[in-house]
Amino acid sequence: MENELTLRHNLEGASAIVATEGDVCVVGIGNLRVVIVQDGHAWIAHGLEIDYVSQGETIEEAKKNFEDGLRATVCQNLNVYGNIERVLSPAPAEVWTELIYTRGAQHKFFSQFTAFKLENVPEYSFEGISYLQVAGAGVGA
Amino acid sequence: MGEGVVGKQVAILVLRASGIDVAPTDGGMHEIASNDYSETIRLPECLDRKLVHHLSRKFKVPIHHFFNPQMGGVPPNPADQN
Repeated sequence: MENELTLRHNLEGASAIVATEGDVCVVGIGNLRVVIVQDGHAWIAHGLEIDYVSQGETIEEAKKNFEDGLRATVCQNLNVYGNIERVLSPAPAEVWTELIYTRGAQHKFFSQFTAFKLENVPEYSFEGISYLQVAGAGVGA
Repeated sequence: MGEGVVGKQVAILVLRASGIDVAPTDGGMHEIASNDYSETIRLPECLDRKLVHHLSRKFKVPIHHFFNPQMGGVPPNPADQN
């Protein structure tokens, strides 16, 4: 494939792959762990291997805001910097500790491939997302 | 408004006063960008503690509800000076 550039990033067990050809960029993110926890009256989705946060009034809204926001952030970084290096930083240690041991937290495993046409908002949707709730978490949606 | 909760407009004002670009997008989100980091996020009307902490940490700006624009570098509104 001409003009192909493939970068593989290992992120504490998660992975990210970036491949470009011309003005099309394909980004794959695998096994990203996202912790969902209640914060006051809101729900927070916080990526562990990728330090990104969203808030929603419900769990589903927090998940949707996370997926939409992370996709837009990846697109924004590709357009501004030409890469997603700045996005691929893990949450700091105190966040891991706080979130993993928070009573009632849910863990969501997240995998997606998205194709971005640079300068445009991607039209592709997320696929292959699976959810995992920690046994005994007892969180009601 | 609970402890640590900050309104959206206050958060935007604080970020802008600290030199951070905050621009709304067509999708109802906001692009927030500093010199070395940028992200797109949906800002709710009230930002709860963890989201406020995240934005403060990522953009290195202390965000709190009791923000005084005159101490944050925002020039006073000319209408207020008359």
